[in-house]
Amino acid sequence: MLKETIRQLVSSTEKMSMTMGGQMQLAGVSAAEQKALLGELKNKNEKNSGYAFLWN
Amino acid sequence: MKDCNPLIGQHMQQLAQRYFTAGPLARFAERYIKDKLNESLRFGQLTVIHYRMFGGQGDSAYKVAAAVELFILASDILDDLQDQDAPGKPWMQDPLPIALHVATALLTLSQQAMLDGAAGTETKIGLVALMNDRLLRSANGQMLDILNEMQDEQAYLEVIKQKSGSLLQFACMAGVMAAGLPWNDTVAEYAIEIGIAAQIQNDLRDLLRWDEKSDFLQRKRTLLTLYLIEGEAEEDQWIKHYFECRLSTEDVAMKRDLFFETCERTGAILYGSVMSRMHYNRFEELVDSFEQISAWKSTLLDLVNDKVRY
Repeated sequence: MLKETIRQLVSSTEKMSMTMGGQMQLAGVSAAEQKALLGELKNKNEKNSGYAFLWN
Repeated sequence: MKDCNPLIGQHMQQLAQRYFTAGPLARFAERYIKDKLNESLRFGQLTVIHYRMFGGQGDSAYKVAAAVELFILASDILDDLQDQDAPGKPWMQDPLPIALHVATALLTLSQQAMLDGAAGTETKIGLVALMNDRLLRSANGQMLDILNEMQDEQAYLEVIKQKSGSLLQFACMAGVMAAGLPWNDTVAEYAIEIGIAAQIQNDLRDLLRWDEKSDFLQRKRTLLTLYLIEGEAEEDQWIKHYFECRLSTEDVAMKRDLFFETCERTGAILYGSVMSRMHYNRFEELVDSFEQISAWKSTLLDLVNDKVRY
């Protein structure tokens, strides 16, 4: 379900903005998925390249 | 904070000098070890920090960590020989029979190093049993990865749990057991989470390149390429067609910029980042919940995040 949510978010600027503002219900997305998604969107909004963990 | 890399490296080199009595074997092995020492020895560092976290004293942590890193080096060599995608590495420039022989000798050396490094018969047996069990799991995962037959995300996650998670479990648990303690379920669980998060990071890196290591050009099935293949938009079907070999490498050779734009536009990059972060968050939650290691929490997180060498 996370996959479908992300596909919907990237295809709609409005939905993306609402999610980033915490105004969008993410049905079918677990709490852990939601936490990670919101963390990544915040990163994206702040123009960070990604979360700090880089193990390569 | 003391950097343990030089000590681990010193033990790796001493082991090669001691057991590789044939001059050429020692020379090739020392060259490969030297190359390895240019990188961060994060598996070995995880072994050392877990040894300390669980009350281990003395220097045997570095010897056990050297055994772990010798194994990691051997598997890196074998992985590069299988994939043929690291032309800059010394083992890729040597004749194949030599590189293959040195890799298998290093595998055996890692087992001997584990026996030499651990203190006490019971600990030695426990560590070698741990080593064989985790490494066999990793070998199973590696085989499935080479065959590249994962049809869905669940199958892919199972493969990386075996392939990458098992190695992280081995590195962390070797430290716990070298300190004289038994298998720890929380450590085992968070090590798997680090392994999954790290593998997805590698997949993100290999998605966004256009050379011999490109997962797309190599038609490699990963969490992210599966995401792209499953996309239903008509304009993106060429990606699925390429994976089905209905398009050749020549057909897509000029589509580099389009491919990167598609990764961004479809949310493939965001999906990978979210999935990796979710597994990393789970690792942090498990560390948070483990009171016994609370004093070590920030050091462990910094080490995993490569902010510090332990």
